[in-house]
Amino acid sequence: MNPLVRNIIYYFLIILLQAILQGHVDFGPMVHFCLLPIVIGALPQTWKSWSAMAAAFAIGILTDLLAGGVTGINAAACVLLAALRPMIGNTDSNALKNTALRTLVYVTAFVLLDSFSFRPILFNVCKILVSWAVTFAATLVLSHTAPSQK
Amino acid sequence: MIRGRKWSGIVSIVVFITLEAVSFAMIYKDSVIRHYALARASRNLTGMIEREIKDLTDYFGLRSENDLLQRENCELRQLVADFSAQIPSGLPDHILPKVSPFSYLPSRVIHNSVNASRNFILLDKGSEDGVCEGMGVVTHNGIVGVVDAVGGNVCRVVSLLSTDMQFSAKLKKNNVFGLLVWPGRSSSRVLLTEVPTHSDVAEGDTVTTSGFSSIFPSGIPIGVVLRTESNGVSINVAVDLFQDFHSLDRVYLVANKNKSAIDSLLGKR
Repeated sequence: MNPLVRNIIYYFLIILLQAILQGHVDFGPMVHFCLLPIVIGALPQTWKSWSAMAAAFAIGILTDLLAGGVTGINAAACVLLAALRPMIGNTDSNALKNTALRTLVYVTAFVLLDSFSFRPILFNVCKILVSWAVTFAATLVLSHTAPSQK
Repeated sequence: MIRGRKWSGIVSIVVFITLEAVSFAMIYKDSVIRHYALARASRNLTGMIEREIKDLTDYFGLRSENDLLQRENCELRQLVADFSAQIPSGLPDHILPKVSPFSYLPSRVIHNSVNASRNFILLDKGSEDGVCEGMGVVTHNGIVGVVDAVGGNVCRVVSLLSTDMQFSAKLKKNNVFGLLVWPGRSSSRVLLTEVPTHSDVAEGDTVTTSGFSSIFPSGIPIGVVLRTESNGVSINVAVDLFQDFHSLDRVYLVANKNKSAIDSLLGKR
């Protein structure tokens, strides 16, 4: 199969998985899996920053619509991550530190946008830490299933 | 070269601010976004898929579902018997008690979320079944939420478990009312706020709907008082919900035929 088509299918499946995990599986109030950093990190490094942000916005909106929650939360977090991409790097760099940082930025943005100042700070801090831990673990597992970039 | 990089940086900043602003507007104005064709189409599509999955999984829970319906039927029979006993025989029709303005439409939950700060429920009834925005959703165990978007044969409900929603509720024993809010933590607990400090509230008291809105009839049980906490100005009452939102399945949509008249008097529309 054409590597480009294979990549598109793979990352679309990640978006679909994210929508299912977010909107249709109950992990309790403290756990939120964020798989979209994998997709944002895989956007070609040659893309200009604004085009990466536009693509990230589209990916976020698609996930929000499929998950059935509040529209815009994933989109805002995705755009933020795409904007910080030059600083955090992408999956090509394959550095554990970058993956950890990318998932932490995304989880923090998502939890804070979702709570929208209505939830207690301590609750949000606990949720960020727990969600980041499970997201980081899931990202490491999924990185072994990613198709080759070559 | 340097000028090109500078322009690229400016474009990136402008795009970033624009896209974040659009995203924030969507989060803040979610009720407006839901009317757009793309949101409607995605809701209908996910609704259709989830309805099929639900049909399949429901088959395995028929026995417990029947038990639940039988219990509810029994309670309703008891209510009818109690009311019938209160109406003296031979009473002329024109002095019989007034018929309630509320009517009920049974529905099934095809999607339910409990973990976000704003939770939504998808029901298998839509505009083709007469569902309108603003209709209440209840079970025999309490209130569930309010319809905020309607598709052809599905509708979306803003759950009681949403931190930005407020419902009017009262204590059953003395009619003292307050605002019911969800603090965003446990899905089985809500807070009855703004209860006057002089009110007599005790652990185990029942909380019901107040009937002060056009959405829910008065007296629907919501939960029991768990504990109280005074902040000097008012009492915050922790309420343990009767309804388990994790096992939400059969619900009733509540229509009030006087709703538009009440809302226009209150200046809502």
